[in-house]
Amino acid sequence: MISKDLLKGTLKTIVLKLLEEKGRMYGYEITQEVERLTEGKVQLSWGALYPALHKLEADKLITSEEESIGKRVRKYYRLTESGTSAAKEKIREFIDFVTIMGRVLDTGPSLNLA
Amino acid sequence: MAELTDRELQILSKEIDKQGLTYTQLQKELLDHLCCDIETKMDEGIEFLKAFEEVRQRLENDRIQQIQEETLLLINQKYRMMKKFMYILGCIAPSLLIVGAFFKLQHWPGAGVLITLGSFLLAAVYLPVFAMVSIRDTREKGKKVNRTLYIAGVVTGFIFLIGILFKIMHWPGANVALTSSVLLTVVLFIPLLVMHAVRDKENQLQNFSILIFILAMMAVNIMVFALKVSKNVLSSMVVTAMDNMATHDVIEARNALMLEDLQNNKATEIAEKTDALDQYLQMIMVDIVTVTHERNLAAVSSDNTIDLKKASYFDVHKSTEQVIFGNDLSEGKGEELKTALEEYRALLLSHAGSDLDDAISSLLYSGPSPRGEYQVDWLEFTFYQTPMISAINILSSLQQKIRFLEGEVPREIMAE
Repeated sequence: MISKDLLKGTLKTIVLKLLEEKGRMYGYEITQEVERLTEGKVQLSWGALYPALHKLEADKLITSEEESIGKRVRKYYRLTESGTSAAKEKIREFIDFVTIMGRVLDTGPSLNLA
Repeated sequence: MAELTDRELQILSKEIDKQGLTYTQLQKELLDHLCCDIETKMDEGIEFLKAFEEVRQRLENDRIQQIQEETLLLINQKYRMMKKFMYILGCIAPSLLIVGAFFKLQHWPGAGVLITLGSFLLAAVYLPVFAMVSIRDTREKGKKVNRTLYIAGVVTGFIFLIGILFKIMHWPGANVALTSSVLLTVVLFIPLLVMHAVRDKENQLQNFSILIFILAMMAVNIMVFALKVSKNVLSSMVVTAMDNMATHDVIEARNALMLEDLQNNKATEIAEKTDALDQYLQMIMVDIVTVTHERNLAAVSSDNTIDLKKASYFDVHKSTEQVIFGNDLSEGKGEELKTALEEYRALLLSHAGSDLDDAISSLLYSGPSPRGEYQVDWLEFTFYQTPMISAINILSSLQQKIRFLEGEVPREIMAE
């Protein structure tokens, strides 16, 4: 399991990256996708995911649309124009960060992200 | 994929409701998430109730209230600043108005600036910010925002406040603004508000209070028009004063012709004294008119004649009191006026025959008069709290009366 503290700063990047790939997603789908990609090592809690999603929406990096699923409503998110460029930048920044941290912590060439 | 029955959905819905969320956007989303969770578990062969039990554990761990708080905190930074700004402004604008009103009452400089600034902040800043904050609040609670009502309210309120401001500042256009605000209130805002109140059952008390408040404000608005009545009184007094002056001029001219024919010592003495008192009265009038407001200077010509049509300020009584009773800087002319008047009356009484005594005594009366239970001095009775135009009325009437007596007394002397 990855600790919450480590996740906190990168959650937005993860969300942006996923939306860039998938086009549109809803909350549950995002948690499932993250779990699948990390083989269960990262489990997003509601408390982490939803505030982040709403913040991204308030900052106009993503927009949402509601769709009726039977008797309940599902909220899909997608990137806005500025969100798309922000996603690229954040991913770039994060890869740099990981590379640098790899060097600092001397984990060697096992890092294979890009 | 398993699909929840309506009944099961209801159970989950209740569970989320129990958490007491007010931010419905989040509430809907969490419900969907919860359903997905359970549906997945049901796909794995777990029964609904068991799956529900598991998920409920997670609900308690995650503390939904806190999620909401965090979410709102993150997305509402700008909004919270706006709200704080609104509260601060809500204290500043009325304070400016109250201080400005006090300044105006005391005739201190700066009253206009304070009142203008206060009204402007209230109308052009507070009102729109309040509407924005209120719209946001409503939307957050998941209710539909009645945009038309807000726009109508802000526009009507703006025009009303600006109308009041213009009225107080004597700027042109005040009546147009106030009339349109009354019209807008009646034909637009009140119907919209009532329609809204009927539909919005939750906030009935609040909506009702707003309605009552609006109606009361409308009464105030209409009362402002009542001020016009006092303005009519003022203008009729202006007409009377101007009539006095015109009549006085005619009598004066006629007296001058008569005096030339008469060649009588007593008549000449009376004419000299009348001229002196007349000029003294004229000087006091000029003083009162100009002390009232510097813009009234336009009404006084170089030879000290007064054209009230060119004066702008009539309803100030401080100026009358300052000229008659004096202040820290200058001595009042009242006592001197009273003495001059008494001397003049004594002169007329000594020269005139007994037939005119009553007329002289009553026309030039300067003794005490009753005010309420008390007898007050002639000066106080005539000039205390007397607006400028009333003082001019009284003084021009005195001028007219002395010119009348100036003509009558010699006529009587000659008749004997």
